[in-house]
Amino acid sequence: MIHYLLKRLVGMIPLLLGITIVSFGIMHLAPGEPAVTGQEFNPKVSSQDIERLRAYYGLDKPLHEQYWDWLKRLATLDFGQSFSADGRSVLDKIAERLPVTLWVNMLAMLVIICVAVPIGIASAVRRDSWFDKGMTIFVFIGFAIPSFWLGLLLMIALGSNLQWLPISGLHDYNWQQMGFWEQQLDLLKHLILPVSISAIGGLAGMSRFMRSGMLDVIHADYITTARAMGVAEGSIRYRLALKNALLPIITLLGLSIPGLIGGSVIVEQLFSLPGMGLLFFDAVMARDYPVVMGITVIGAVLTLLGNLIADLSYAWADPRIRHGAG
Amino acid sequence: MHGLIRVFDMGPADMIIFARRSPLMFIGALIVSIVTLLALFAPWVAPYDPAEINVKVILMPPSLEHLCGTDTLGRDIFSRMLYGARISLAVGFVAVGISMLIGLMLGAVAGFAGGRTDGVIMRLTDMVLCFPTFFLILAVIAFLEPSIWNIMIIIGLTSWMGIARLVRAEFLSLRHREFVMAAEGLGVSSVRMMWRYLLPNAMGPILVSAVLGIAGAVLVESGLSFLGLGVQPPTPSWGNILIEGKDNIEIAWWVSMFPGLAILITVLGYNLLGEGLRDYFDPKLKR
Repeated sequence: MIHYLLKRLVGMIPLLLGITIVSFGIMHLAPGEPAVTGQEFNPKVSSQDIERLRAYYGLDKPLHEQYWDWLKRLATLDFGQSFSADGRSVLDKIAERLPVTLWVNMLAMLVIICVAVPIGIASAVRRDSWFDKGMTIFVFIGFAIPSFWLGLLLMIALGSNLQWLPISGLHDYNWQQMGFWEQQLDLLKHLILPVSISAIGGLAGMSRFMRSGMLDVIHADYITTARAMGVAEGSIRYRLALKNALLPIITLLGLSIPGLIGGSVIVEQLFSLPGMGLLFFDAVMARDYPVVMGITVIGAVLTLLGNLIADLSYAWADPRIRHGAG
Repeated sequence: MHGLIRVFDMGPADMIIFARRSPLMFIGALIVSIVTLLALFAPWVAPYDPAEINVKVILMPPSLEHLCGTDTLGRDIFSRMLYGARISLAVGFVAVGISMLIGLMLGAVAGFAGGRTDGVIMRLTDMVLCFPTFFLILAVIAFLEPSIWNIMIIIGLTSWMGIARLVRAEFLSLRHREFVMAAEGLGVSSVRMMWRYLLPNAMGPILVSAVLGIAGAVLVESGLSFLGLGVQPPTPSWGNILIEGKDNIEIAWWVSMFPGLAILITVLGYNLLGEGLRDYFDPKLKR
């Protein structure tokens, strides 16, 4: 097991290098300069000043040297300083924003699992019933709906018109004055819409997947055998079939991480949440290279780790792999 | 493939049989045809010039004169949506064309050659799959410029992985079938073999993922528009009409509502059609 883990972790390194080289290349080869140095039209800034700034940020060196310098610093977990006016360290900026994104996405995943798995099972067990048909329609709409549009409509309906839910940010303006539990409740209220919107696409996909997985398993030989041996139907469904149908879900969850991280740009922009997606968007618009690279690396690491955890849990949950590989 | 070609010369009686047998796919095919026709014939269908500004009818609610209302410049939203359909669908088609081209080539080579070539190509595929691709699309569009060509190309460049994996898997499974070995024994060249014998046999799943891919690309373009990086106004796309209505949504819901519905219905249509085709091609379901 440890051997496998090490092998996988080492295998991540070339992937990460590849991802960073591609991102670095695209960023620096694109025309235009970061805001700090792109001031040719500012009469107060002479061309010598610009040259000095470029040298200060290392932008005057050849590309491969810049990448090498960046990589060397990365090896010591130094992501460099942001180009923005505050000039803070990239790691600080990301550390401050990461929890919001992680929380929203983890809650979204939780919602996806808790809702999609029962729906999928119920649809499979009562195949072609009205419930199954209704759920199929829901799934197709969930796949097709532009999430920000739905978010916008919900904001107007539940937020502005009915005033049931807050529509932006994480806290109410008088958050400081609230007691501890009030604060948690407030936070929860602010998270309901963003989490629902993040979850909608995955919810549709996962319930569909669960349904077909369950259908496959129900028709498997060992289920027929169990039925022939007189095992109770409930026991067949929830003890034998469910366990095996759940396995592929683990992998799917791992694969859905890049989508969730990518989608967080839209959700955070829509609900003005101070998360990593919004930070990335602002950094891209201002060409804040160190921040863009930092988030790319963190995003890729999160994705790779997510896939690894998914594979490990898969191995742990599937006795064939657990005992077979040794 | 023959079944598919028959779809195009179906009579009314065949239509009813089709609709009965797979109602969801029929609805999907219907939506796709209607939207495509509306887009193609936009100049003849549109009641107004999509760019015509008319200050007398600013933010008018839907009425018989303006089916979907008007926007802040008094432009007719229905007309803009018809022209927007051309742009949004064009983005979908071209992006999918690009991703098919890349995916087909990489997948075919990997599946046919096997061994080390296969390993390298699949590693590359894994790498791109680990990319939060929306970040990449965002970065590239922001650094270059949000022109329609850039958007098509970058969506295409970041969505070929599914097709590559699929083609590879199909080719791997076909590779050792008897008819392929027979052709090999007769000295058929590799390229001809892939083109003539392997590809037609893998066409079903490829078509399915192309149809689903169009739906995906339309959604990505609308997401980019939401961030201000989609097709740029005044060229109308469903995404950017929707976003232009965002600021006035509380007094003029129709500006955002109808383009959103158009995206929803179109993507739904393509997905229904794609899933229907998937069932059609799936040998497991042919009982």
